[in-house]
Amino acid sequence: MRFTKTRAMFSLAATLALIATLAVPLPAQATPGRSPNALPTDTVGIATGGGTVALGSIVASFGLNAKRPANFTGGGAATGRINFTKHANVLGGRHVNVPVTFMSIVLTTTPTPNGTGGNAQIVGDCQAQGAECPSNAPGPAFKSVLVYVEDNADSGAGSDFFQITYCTDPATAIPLTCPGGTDGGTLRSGNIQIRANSGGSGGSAPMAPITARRLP
Amino acid sequence: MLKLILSSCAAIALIVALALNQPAQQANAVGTPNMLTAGGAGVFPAGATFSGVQLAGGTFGIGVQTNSDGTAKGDLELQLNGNSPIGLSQWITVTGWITDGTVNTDGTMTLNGTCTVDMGDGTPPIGGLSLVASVSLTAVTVTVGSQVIPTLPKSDGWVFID
Repeated sequence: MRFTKTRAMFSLAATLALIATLAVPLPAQATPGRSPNALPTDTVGIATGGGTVALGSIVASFGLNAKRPANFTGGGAATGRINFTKHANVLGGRHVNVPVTFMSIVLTTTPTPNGTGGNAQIVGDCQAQGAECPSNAPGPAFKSVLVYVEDNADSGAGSDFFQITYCTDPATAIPLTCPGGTDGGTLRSGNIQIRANSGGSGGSAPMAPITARRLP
Repeated sequence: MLKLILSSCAAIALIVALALNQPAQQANAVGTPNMLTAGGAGVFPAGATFSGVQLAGGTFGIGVQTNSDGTAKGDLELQLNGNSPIGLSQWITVTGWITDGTVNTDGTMTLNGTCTVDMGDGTPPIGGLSLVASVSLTAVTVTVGSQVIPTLPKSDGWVFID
């Protein structure tokens, strides 16, 4: 009887320990709606884009450039810039203007007729000189932004994807702690292009029919 | 002899002074690889029109990477809002693929490519138009086909030439 009771108590303690372990809060992950957690950091490629996304009832414009630095040998280093402007007065600031420091990128194996396609995670440094990011007051300041883009079609609007996430991790790798939420979604207008390199011209403008729209 | 030494020292000091006086970041030279990144908005001056639409304001998003041979790759998106001749709100969207680009000596950037224009009035968008854009840190001017869109002064956001 005593043996059984001891074993029962031991089991109960073990169960409680297991529950406690599972209940320990995990660090907030950067989980953009469509972003895979790990894209290759050694692939050479470039990402460009310009357009608008709808954020509920407001509109935001973005422009972005990212490419590998000269003499790149791997490890995710990148250069470029991210600009993002919400066209409304919003709490915490509506501008992002940051240099790019890190990128992971995938080039599609089935490119569009103009030879582009893929997706990328691009990290911008909010702590760089002259950089601008929204305030996270009274919480810790944002140190980085994580932009996730998809180039799904030459026509861009309605197909390509842009999303920006605000993070408190430094911009030295893909940030994991991103308490600032995300902005973005499928492009309302504009285009994202992901391709292998920046050499040569950018091909022809997409001639695929675009549905006539009345905006907003 | 003393005069020679003094004049040599003065010359060296002048060279050092000139070298130290250079700006930390030189203006981008024509023909070097550059990046133009922009996202912002502006308000048109009174009287601005395009294809009969009275323009009020506009937004822009640009990401272009140029090469030393003048070729470029990237995207330009410009959206104009205004009123149609019968007073309806109208949004015109220009979506450009950039194929050439150069930084000019005055720091502005000239982009060339082709574009699609959606007049936003229910008519089908028109593709295959030539596009020329002049972008400065304070304004965006775009020509589509033979039509010049009035210059959009930047009042919000960023234009950055790296």
